Amino acid sequence: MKKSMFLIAVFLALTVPDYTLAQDTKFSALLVYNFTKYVEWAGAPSAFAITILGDDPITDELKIIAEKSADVKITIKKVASLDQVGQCDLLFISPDKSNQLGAAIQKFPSNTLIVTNKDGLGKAGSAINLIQVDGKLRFEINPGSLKTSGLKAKPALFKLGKTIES
Amino acid sequence: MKKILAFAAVAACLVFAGEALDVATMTEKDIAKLTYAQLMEMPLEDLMVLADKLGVSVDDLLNMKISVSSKKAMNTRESPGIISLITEEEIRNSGARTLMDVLRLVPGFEFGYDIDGAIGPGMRGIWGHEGKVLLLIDGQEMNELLYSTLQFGNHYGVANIKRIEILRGPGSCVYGGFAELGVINIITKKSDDLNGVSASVSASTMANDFGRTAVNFGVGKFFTNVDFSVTGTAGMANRSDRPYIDASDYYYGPESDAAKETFSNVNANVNIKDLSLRLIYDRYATRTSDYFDGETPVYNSFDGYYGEVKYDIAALSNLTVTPKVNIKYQIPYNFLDERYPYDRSALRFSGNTIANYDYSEKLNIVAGAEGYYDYATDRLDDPESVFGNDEKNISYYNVSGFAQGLLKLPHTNLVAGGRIDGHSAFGTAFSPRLGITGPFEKWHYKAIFSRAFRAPGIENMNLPSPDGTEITPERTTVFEVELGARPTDNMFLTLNVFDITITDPIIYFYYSDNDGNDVEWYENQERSGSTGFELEYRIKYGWGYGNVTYSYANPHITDKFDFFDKNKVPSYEVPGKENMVLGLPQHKLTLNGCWLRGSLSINPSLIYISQRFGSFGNGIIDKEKPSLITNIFVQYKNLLTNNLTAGIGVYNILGQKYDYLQPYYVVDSDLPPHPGPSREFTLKLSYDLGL
Repeated sequence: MKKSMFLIAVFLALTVPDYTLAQDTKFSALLVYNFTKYVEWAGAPSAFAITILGDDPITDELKIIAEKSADVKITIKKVASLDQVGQCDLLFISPDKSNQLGAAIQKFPSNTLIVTNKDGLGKAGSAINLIQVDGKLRFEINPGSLKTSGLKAKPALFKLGKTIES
Repeated sequence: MKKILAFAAVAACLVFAGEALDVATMTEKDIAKLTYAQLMEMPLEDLMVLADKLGVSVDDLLNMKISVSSKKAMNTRESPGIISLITEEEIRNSGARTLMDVLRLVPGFEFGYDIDGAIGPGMRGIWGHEGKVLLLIDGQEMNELLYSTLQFGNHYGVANIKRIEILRGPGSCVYGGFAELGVINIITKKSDDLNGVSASVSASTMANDFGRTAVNFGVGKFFTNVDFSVTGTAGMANRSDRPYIDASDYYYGPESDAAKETFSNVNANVNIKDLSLRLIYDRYATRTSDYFDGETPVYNSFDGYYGEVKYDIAALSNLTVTPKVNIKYQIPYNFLDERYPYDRSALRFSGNTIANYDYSEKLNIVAGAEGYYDYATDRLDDPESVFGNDEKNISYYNVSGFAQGLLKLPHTNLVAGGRIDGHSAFGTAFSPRLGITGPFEKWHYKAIFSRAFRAPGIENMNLPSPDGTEITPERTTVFEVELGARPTDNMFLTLNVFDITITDPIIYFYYSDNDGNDVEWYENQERSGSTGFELEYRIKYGWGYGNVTYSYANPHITDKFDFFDKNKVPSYEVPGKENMVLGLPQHKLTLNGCWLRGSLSINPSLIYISQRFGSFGNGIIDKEKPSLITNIFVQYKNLLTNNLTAGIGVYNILGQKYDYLQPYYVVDSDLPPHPGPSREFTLKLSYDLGL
């Protein structure tokens, strides 16, 4: 029993809390918001239509950002299936719908920025893919996909993200 | 003077207004105080600097959408149920050998020995092996149809699991008659999770015999409109390396192979746009040492074939209709031994349509209808081996309808729903649920009232009591209240209190008559149940994560009210201890932690199970000492080459003599404790290759 108590005590001592703060979803949404500033669309839209495919907590954060956006009008729409996605400037594909990426690229071949949030999808053709590296939020940028979509990214975006090819 | 002060004030305002935020010196607390407006004005460079300072949080888990409790994707704090969520990363880091290792770390779960080598689940202090716990693998109901049981042991591998959602309370209002106490919903890796080929092998050895060897594979790829995945597992394992002495004093040591088990599973999925096809083959074979008078026992196998065709029709932007048809064919408890032959199959055809309608952002309605047809066959040549209708075949059908409304108000979600089942043999069962959940930023609450039922299995109905009374469904009433706190972004604490009352529980009876013939039957008894609470504390930081759980269940918490004297089933009773039932502990404490350092993870875990009581054979009920199972698993990713992961682990480090107890007592059929694994050393290697 003493051995058990010792093991439990060691475990609890190692789990003493600290005050690290983290707001991953909020910052993911802020990155998506920034992509609207750092990517150039043909015929620069005066209002941005962002569609989220699938259930993702980023939707609520993006709605808050859209409400507070003073520079440009942003509309947020959440849909359950790719068939329901209408014309939009930015399509965010949630991880649980990531197998729809290929179909999404085919459906929106140009002038729609496709953003994903799962390891490997940058290489699979997503223009921008949010990833975690050692617990830190990062993004991959696929210049080939951007070019195919007729989109141009500002050099700063390439500097801050990890360039990846299909 | 006034002019000077006014000028100074204006100047100060201008200075402050123009002051840029110094992101480089900001602490994590400073970042938390920044407003959306400040963050949105920030250049992307600065935002990335701040993102770099942030750690990971429990939000990943809390925000993950799950649908196990309501068919509507909701996060764990909002879901109308007591939920546990286990991710692929947690499973992989823990080094879990089987699903049982994973469930052991979940509050309320413990396992017991039934008969014929079958290990079944107990949940919240109630033996749930026969039809009380539903296991879904990618939506397929794995419970076998003859007795409604699940076989754990070395059955279900974990290498291809993406996520496990566990509803630790009743789910009959959505799932029907197998979900009386809980639902284990396993989601395996899909095409996009695999996106290539993965393979893994594992091998382990126990102190006195081999432990387990397994080979797992996964292939998946997605194309423009089509994606596919195939995953599989095969291997053999040892339930224990310790000797077993049966009720007749026959000795079975490791050399007898009496605890050897084999398992294999293939799971294939193809999606063509919104059309989904799935096929699963599953085989598990175990052995029993009982009733063989010292001879080497034969395998007792469980074969299952599962097929599903499902189509998501997005009828409107806010309405999805999903029709599906399923077929399942099982040959459970296949015992091809001339002394105890048993060879029966069960076939189920089922059809189901669910409509999921978002009337508005605040109101969601899910409704559906389901029907199934069961057909069982006795496959033995013996003309006297027949069902209760004196035929070699027997069939039943069931129709059901269910509906659920979910109203989202500020900090309050209201859920009301119910399901009604009509069965050709046992009649109707109604399972309503009312729930209220309230997620706030730092805390949440849930209060849920549910009725559930257990549908009698085919053999339950086939073996009515000698007085001719027919079996009716068990009916269960459950009250649950949960409070949760999220004191920081990295911690999450929940406490739930539950009360479960099962009326008319279906109980097994057996005796050997004067001529040595087996006489067995099922009958409804008065009631059983438990009252208790479960505590769960989770943390997640950049350096790793951990959780502590404690669960308590008691069938008799007070003498003052008959309501709390739950157990009136004699075969569950521990003589002289009203506050316990056979086979299951009153207390369970688990600790699990994982330290992450780049490619390295170190995951110790500990499970404390309080004393239990069980049959020791020949009518003797005795105490089994508390058990403390300690484990450690060390894993290194990208070892020597990219994509290769290697792990080594030790299970039951202290070499505790853990036994599986039989959680009920049956005259002439009670079994001594069956030994569990001793100290076990394991090695795992996995390789992922993108295509």
